[in-house]
Amino acid sequence: MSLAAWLVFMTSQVAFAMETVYQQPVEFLAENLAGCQKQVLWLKGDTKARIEKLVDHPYPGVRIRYCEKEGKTAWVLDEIGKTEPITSGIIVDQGRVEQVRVLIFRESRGSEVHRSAFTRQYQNAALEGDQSLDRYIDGITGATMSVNALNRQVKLALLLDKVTRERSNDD
Amino acid sequence: MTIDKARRRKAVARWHRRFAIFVSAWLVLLAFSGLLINHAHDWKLDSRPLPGMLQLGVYGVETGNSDFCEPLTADHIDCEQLFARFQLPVGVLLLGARDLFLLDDAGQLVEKMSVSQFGLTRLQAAFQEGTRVYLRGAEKVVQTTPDLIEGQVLDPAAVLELDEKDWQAARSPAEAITWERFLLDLHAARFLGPAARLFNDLMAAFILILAMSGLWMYLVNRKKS
Repeated sequence: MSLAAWLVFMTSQVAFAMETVYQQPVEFLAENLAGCQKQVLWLKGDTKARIEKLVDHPYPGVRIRYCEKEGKTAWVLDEIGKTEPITSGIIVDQGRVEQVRVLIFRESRGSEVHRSAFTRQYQNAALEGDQSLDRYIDGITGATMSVNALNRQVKLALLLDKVTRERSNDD
Repeated sequence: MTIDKARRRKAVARWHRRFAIFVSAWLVLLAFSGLLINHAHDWKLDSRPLPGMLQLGVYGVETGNSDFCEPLTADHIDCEQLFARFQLPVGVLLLGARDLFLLDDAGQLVEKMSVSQFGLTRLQAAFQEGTRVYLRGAEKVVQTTPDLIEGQVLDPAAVLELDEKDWQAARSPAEAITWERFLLDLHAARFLGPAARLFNDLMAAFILILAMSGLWMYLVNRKKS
């Protein structure tokens, strides 16, 4: 019986997850910020702590890559919805979201977050302090964890954009 | 009804119950694995690889080289998918089919890079030449910059020249043991060899006994009523 219960758990957690590629990250950058310059942001000082406070979990690594062109930054970020990472591309223009797109979705449910009707809600959104968006994002029934993951990604992209601008001002 | 008949009925009912309890767990497992096998294609169990721990434990098949993970102090690394380790000026690069992990000399994770950032869906093979790493996917071959920030797609002529290099191949999902194979083996009790098959035969015999004793009890009760 325990083996059967284990099988139910494993199959529900692992086997039914699928990967849907809506757009390759490289194509997303080429389409939305063509000719941008790839750079890395080193998570120095308290940056990592700010990120971890925002996403509410440990953040792996000490550098994050992004693409920059004429003051706009593009971020391709992974965030776990329920068990699998969702890869999203986010373009930020001077602290405001210009474009959000779900690029790769790997969860078994909640893929509705990739629809433009949902991601359009983030357009022009900005960060209030370090923690929250300046607007309310309507959720999707049955996709709460994916919506939360996308909210975290957008907030993270805005925070990282803020850090890059803070650093360039310091320089 | 004579005392003998009553005793016989009670004995049959008692053994029927005992057999039923003994067989039920096995029957549930059999029904469950059968159900999953029936829908293996619908639920992609025929293409989804078994987790590395199970592949190693049940089939003795290694999916990745967990030795690559040994010196690490960082979490967030899926050791099962790793197939190569390159020493670069920027640090140590561990390569998996889906992700690359850059570590500093102390084994701390510097960056987790999805191969999709280099325009690849899945990494098939890689090799190192000096400070550069060459990544081969199904669609193209990418040469990384020494800092691993950018990747340049190589033209077919350049790719041909690289064919003789010492490519280290990633384990493709097609080679891996799938959930369907595992379920079929579980369903047929092949894991423990002849002993498991004998156990399966025994369970089948118990079910026949159950069917016969159940029918006998039904007929006796019907006659009685």
